[in-house]
Amino acid sequence: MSATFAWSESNGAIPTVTDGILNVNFGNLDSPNLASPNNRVVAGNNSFEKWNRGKFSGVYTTIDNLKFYKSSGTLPANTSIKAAVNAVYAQPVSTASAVATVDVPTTLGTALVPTAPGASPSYSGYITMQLQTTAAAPPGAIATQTFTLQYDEV
Amino acid sequence: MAQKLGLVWEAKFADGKVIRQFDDAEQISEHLFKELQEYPAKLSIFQLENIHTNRIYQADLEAGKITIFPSPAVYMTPEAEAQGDTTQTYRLIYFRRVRHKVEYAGGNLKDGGIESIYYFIGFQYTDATGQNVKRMIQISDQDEVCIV
Repeated sequence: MSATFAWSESNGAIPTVTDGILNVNFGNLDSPNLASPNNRVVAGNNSFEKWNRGKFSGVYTTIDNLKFYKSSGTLPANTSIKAAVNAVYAQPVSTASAVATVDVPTTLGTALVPTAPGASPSYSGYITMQLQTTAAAPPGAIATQTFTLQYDEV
Repeated sequence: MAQKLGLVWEAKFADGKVIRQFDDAEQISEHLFKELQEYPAKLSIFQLENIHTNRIYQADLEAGKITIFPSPAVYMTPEAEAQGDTTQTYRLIYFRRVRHKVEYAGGNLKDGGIESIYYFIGFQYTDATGQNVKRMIQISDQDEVCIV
């Protein structure tokens, strides 16, 4: 048992929160669980921002020491994934994000630190990400990118 | 989604009280760790047991010792200056480190995308120079042990 974890995504102006999302596929639509190859991002454009959180429920005393980073996957040239944590929610945009402005860390040592959840059930701080491309980005599918959220639990 | 834990804890107090993490093998009825923190008597023994292999990882907070059962027993003790000092106070270290993944352009996740769970058990104390000293091991569900 212990804590029950689910990835969560918020979408829309007044956020619609979807717990238990299945992926964080970036696309040209502000919606969770986008199916590939739909909702493609055209070279030179950005995806809509993703606003994700970890949802913690079930039995736990404390969840802390959260760390978020991209744990595997190589991006093609002229593409990047920008990220930020703990911003106040704002409707996702497909213009260059004013929130997610730094490259998502790719090592645990440089990981972003989302705010820890409170008492069960509760959410972590927001993890905001956006796929950004230039006009020189190559066409075609992007290899799988894996993001990891690590935390300590008692 | 929750899954059954591979290693579950049991705590023994100086007054003989025992609190187990779960009251049942199905891991439905669970005690919060904070019950240990709130119990008035001194915590003497804290141990993790692998539910599949019955291997036990024990932190003895009276003696300041980590022991792994069954034999060959492996144990860690504090530095000589602290050993045998009945005034020494050993404080428990315990947590689970959990990793969940989510993918872009990957497959659909199941069970929250759990990647790994590692268990950390040990103790810490303040040595004669005022330094905080930690003795801790990391354990996997497969009984892989690492001194950290």
